Amino acid sequence: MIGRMYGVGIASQAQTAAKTLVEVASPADSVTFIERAYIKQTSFDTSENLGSTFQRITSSGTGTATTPRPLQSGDAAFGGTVETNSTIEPTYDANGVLVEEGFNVLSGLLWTPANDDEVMVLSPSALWGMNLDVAPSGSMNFSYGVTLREIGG
Amino acid sequence: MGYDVRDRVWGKRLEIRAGDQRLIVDRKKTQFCTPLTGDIRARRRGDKVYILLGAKQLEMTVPVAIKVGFALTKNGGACMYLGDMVLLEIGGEEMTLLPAVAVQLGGVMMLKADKADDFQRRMQ
Repeated sequence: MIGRMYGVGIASQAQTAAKTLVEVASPADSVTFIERAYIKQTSFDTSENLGSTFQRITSSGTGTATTPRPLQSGDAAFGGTVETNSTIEPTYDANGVLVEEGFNVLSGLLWTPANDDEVMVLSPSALWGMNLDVAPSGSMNFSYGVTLREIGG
Repeated sequence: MGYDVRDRVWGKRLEIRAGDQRLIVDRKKTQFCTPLTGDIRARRRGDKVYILLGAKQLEMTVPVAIKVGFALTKNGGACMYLGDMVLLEIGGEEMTLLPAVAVQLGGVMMLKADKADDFQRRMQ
């Protein structure tokens, strides 16, 4: 396997508004791949449709610094930074949305690239974000995360 | 045939020579250009990675594909100003790629190289 794999996972976090859930900043000397992204809901048992978008970011926001965990024990730490649960929204790239998916909160959202051509590639220092673009009707607990691959560094 | 990496991928320019052939990835300022779009793909067969350019193809070993893929992605991400494009020169034939195309193509090449590497190990 080329590169190092990292997991970012947030468990059962209350959300009441549309906001950026994960922001990834690629290291300055490495390329980062988004290999998987997911949002699950763990507290609300009524059917409700929400949406999420994955986009490139031009200007970083503010969120909780979250350490990606190497999937292979002993691997070096991820060279970039990851923030979750944004309090100040980032500025998204004007070129638009890479992925936009609706999902029922009872089943959640799981995105993986259908083939190698569809994988999301972040060049060194590039930014990427996954958001909840529709506000939930009330407070719900969401578990969400991404799997990253770092090549270089 | 062996190959020779004339510059590090970590620098701006990558140049790989094999015999009298050479492959260069660099950045280029352009005023007028017709960028290649849609007709350039990375694919894998067995333990080799290929860049498909229309009807032509360029075969690469795993280490070369990784270096070229990384250089394409890095240079694509480093295009900051209007008119910056990524130059891919194969045997004297120059192609200018849009930065976004170079980033994605480079990424796909690295993933294909990963699979080619797996294939190679499985065959051993």
